[in-house]
Amino acid sequence: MTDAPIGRDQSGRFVKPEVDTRPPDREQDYHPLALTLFGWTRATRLPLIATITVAAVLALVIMLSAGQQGVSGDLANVSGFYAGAALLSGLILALAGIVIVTLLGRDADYYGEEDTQPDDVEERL
Amino acid sequence: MALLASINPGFVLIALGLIACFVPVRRVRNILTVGAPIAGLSVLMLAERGLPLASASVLNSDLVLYYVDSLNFIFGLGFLLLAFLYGIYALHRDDRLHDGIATIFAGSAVAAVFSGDWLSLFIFWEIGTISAAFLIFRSGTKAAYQAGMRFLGFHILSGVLFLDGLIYVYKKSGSFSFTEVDLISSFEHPAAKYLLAALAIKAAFPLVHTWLKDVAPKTTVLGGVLLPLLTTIVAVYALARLFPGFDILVWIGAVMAVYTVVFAAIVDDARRVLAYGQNALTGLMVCAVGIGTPLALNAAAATAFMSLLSIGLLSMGVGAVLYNAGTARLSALGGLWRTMPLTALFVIMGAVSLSGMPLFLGGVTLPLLIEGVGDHASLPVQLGVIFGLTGLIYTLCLRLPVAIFFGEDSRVRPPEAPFNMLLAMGLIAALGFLLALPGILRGLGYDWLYQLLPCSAGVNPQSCEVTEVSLTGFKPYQMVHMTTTLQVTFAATLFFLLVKRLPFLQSRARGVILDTDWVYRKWGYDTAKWSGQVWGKAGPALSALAGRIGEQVFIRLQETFSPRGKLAYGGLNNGAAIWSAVLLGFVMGVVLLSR
Repeated sequence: MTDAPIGRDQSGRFVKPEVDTRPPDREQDYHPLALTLFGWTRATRLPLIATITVAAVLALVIMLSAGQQGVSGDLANVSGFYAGAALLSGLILALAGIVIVTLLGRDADYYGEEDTQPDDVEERL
Repeated sequence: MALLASINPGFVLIALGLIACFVPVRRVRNILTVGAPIAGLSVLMLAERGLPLASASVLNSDLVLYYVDSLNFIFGLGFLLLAFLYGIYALHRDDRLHDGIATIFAGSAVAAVFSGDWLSLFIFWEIGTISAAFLIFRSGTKAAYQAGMRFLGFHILSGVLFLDGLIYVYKKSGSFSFTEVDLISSFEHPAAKYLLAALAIKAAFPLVHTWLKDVAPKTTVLGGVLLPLLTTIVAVYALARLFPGFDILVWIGAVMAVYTVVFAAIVDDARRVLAYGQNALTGLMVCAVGIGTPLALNAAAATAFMSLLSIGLLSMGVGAVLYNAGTARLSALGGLWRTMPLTALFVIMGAVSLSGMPLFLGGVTLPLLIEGVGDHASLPVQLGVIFGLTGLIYTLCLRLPVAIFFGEDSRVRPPEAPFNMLLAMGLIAALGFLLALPGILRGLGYDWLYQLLPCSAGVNPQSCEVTEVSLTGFKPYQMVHMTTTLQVTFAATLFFLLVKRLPFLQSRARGVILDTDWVYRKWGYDTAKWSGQVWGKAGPALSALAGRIGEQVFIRLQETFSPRGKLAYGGLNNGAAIWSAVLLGFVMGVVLLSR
């Protein structure tokens, strides 16, 4: 099977391009403090820099934690045990999440209560 | 002054809350709802510890209505602080009944922890249940009404079980006093089983936890701050009072933390994420209570205090987003830092605090928890606790704020939260920071917090007599404690960043995730509905059939045994008498042997 040309479906017919109906992103709508406090989060390389920084800090913490606090069992006294256990926990958490969402995920209206907006929500929007 | 010192601070909140229900002038009501916790705090400061301060005689039994010791002091203080900050947070809302009932709800939690006997605690607990149900119903939706009814079902069952346990205690000892804990020092006595079952529902143990995640997203915006926290933390207090050192709690707590945090990582509603997160944190506290050493009890109390402030702050932030954006679904939010930067800042401070970073409240309470649990728990339990902590950091400290404020821009542009909401969040953030400062001046910073812990100083509750180890000398900012906590924090952060870059590890449910409540909400409900339909159609025919069978049986019995029956004629008459005598003798023999 070949990829469809841009703007057409598999049978060659033209299809409407998806239009972003959301309001435009205008800086004049921002809160006066927004860019000062969080403008830096728009840096595109931030996740990569953050990952490397956190990994470096984690390594440093593990090196410093040769004398980690009292735990029972030989395994638990190994340096970096908590970091290793937490990383493993994270992996199990993510995998368990995938399995549970696949098996137990249902529509938002499964119990017939999709609309749960309380009465004290502001009606400005 | 002596009179003031004998007033349970919870009574002050309940009384002023009741008055607020009838005050139409909003400003006067605001003064009452903010002033009530301040008045309660003032009264608490006058209280003498370790003595019954107020009592009453009911049904030939002396009830201690006000009692302060080092275990309930920190819980009550946390509740009063949260009630005060909640009062500020709710100032923008003009709802007479909601204002008053929320204050009554907070007051009932305070009154419950300062009760000096089990019956008083039960009474205030039930007042709390009724007022909490009102906070759910006040949401005004059909879903909230149904969730409120389910909440009442769970908590009335819990109340009945608690009362059953109390009856056993009273029958055995003739008193409802806390000092009768010897009766429940093991599970031999039925009282222990009933009381633990009741507390299991209140604390949202696994399988009976679903009320918490059910009501949290359906209660009012404001009620969502108080309800999940106060209900579960009062239960933690009761467990610490009643069951310290019960091994079974160690395992239940670990399972609770592991089970619920998995759901917190995938559900879409931010208030449900918080509910599951609070449930997991409660699990960690239950685990510490089960270990029961003074250090572990201190850890449970400190974690409870921390969760009141940190999860309280997160709940307020999510409430502010829901109030302004009209939704708390993570999939519909993202990029809100652009218009709600101050809310984002305070939520981040709450998240950082919960993650155990130094100089924040979690930085002085989580090391205590890790050491308290690590000291005595087996390796599987420790792994469960690490899993729970990692999941909490992953979900509440990273996923929640990132998805709301920094995720893909949803172009939703809600205005910043009202000033009173920001003020309340700012005060909690500042308080959490102040309480985590290193003890530069004696009695300030975490030193002050540690002095309030149950097994530190002053009059200790019986719970602290499990062992004789004391807290003296625990320094959260020693490298050994900091690095242990930071390993978990940074590993969870690293994994979160990796998941963001590895889409195959991402899972996000846009709809509902089935939990154990499916059994009664879907299967049970559908079965009942089906049975009703079947009975509706087949009922008349089945009733007629049963009637005919009953009639035939009666006629046959009458034909056989009545004075005109077959057994009454001829030789059979004598035979019947003999057989009756034989049967009677047999029954008497059985009764004799079975005694």
